[in-house]
Amino acid sequence: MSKLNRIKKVLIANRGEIALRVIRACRDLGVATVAVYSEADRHSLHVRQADEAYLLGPAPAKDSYLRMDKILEIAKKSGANALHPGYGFLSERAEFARACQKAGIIFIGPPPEAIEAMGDKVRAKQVARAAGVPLVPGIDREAADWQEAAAVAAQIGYPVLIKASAGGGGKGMRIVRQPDEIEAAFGSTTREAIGAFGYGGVYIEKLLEHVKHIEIQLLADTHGNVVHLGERECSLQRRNQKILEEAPSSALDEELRQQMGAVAVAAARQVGFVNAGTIEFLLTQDRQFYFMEMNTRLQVEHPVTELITNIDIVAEQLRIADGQTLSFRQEDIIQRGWAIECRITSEDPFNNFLPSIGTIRRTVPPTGPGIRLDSAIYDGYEVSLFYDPMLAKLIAWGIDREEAISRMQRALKEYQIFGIRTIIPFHEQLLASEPFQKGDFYTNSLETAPALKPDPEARHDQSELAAIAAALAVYRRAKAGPGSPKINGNGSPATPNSVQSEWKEYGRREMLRRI
Amino acid sequence: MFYYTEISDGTFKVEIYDDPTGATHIRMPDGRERLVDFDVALGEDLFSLLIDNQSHEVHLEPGETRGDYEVTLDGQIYQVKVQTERQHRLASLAPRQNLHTGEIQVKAPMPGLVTIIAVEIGQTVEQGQRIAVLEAMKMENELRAPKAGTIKAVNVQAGQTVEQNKVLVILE
Repeated sequence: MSKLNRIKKVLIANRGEIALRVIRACRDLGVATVAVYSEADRHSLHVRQADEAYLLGPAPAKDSYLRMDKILEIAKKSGANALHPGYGFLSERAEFARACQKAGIIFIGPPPEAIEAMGDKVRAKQVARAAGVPLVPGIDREAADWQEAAAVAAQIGYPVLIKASAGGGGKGMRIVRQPDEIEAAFGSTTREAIGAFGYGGVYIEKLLEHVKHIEIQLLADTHGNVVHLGERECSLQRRNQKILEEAPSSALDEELRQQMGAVAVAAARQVGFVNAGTIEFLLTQDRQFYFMEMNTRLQVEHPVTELITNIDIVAEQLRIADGQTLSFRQEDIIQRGWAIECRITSEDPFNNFLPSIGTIRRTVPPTGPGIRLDSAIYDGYEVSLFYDPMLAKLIAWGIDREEAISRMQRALKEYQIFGIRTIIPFHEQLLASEPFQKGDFYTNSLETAPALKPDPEARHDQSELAAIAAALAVYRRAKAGPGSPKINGNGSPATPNSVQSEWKEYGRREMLRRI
Repeated sequence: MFYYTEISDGTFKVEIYDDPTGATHIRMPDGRERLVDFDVALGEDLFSLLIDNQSHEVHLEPGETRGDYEVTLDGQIYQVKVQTERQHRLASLAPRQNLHTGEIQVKAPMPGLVTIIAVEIGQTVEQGQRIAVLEAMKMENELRAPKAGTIKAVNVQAGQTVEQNKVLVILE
């Protein structure tokens, strides 16, 4: 594999597992790494793994990971000549890519013009239309107010989706089923969009139900070569957040794959796309597909594609940014086996997926054949509310879907995270469910299919064992004897009752005597 | 030794003892005897439990009060309270608290930023009516009235950051 020529040192403008993922690719290619971090992330793995690390500022993203000026200043100070934005944060900000260019720093991503065109969802639709990509019924422009939104909705028919033009990653989107809901939905989408993206423009689209979310991974170099790496199935979503992805999709055959791939490549060419990107489609049950949006960045779920194509997408991003020509052509890409990714989040599936915040006391990561874990957590990791609840991604590969599922089930059982609640039990339920095993699920299935609702009753009740374990802990402590440095119920070293307080002990004895 | 273990709704009494060979046994309330081997797997929180040779890994996190544990087993979390016989007798003497007042507190289910307070003191609300919007982890979460009633108190303002379980609004 060829190493890099121009890129010498890469600043990673991100945190968490994706920052680590990029550091690893840089190491593989022999380039130095610079981490940036917020005050909350001083102990994070990306800080510890990088060659250099620089403090950005306070924990809130707007004071740290979104500070373009500071990040560029650090790039200059550290001598980084390239920058990888990861996903989220500044990854799809054209102005940031442009600022990097101006500062003479290689932005590992598409040119700012392509980010701009595809980042504005309304313009993206126009680009897709020009490239001959089928579009979901709706309007190619923003709605000025809720009354206009209501008029469009009435025309295309309910249910509709209100989407933020600047949206992405599932944020800034609302389903509206009835005319009387549209005013409130318009308001909250606009507010969320202003808060999350700094821009409140929204547009209206017909909501297609019982469809699959299928996306095509693209790689494009600076020499005009564009290839697709096949599809990912990302239909299992909750509140528009993907929770489990796989590649390939059981809904596609080779013919449909090549057809969707060709359309995706055409759209990328239309917009002058370079580097790694993804085109998201909705696929109906009668094999019609519609353009949804393009993500002009690395996706969270890129590992499933990596495992079935044996292409390191992040390393390819670096090579492309380095100016190299893709080392493979479309016909060289061969999919082998099946890969599944479970996003491991700090959400409690049995309490309406409420974020669980606290300290991870201990974690026992899964290993073994076919298992990959992209994780940023460690014993003592603080789960804060400042950032995304995703802690890790667990990815399983098998020669076919059945083997991938079995391996994932085995890994989920091995994977233990103590101290907070995680989504793991829900993934176990999902993988064991009939709709999942049959591939019979759609973008709305997690909200509508009864078999896919978190069901605490379906779980094996082990309360008797838990009670026994706790009793044994107390027994073990008592047996170890007074004064031994074992922890007691309040986490401090045990002391014999007699030295705790003579008066307290006296009072207790008096109370007992009265029984 | 006898222990009272309280878990979810039930309390049951178990006896734990060592036989002359040093092996530990547990006698269940129904008289069943089980052979147990409970040993540290890692640190002072992760244990390996062999119960009749069935292998389990258990994480124990001590709680606020002595004898309280958060037990994690196969990804499930249980709150367990263990009392020795003596502690059990003492506890039974403590007066029971009666918290029933007819008030309902609408609490923040997670830490976050209150973006909207949709009610004011004295206002009557329907069940399911929106009371507040809490933004956390970049998502807007609507908090709704758990029952119909009158707003008795509003403890926060829009724009305020709140901790988990902060009482936002009291409903009567």
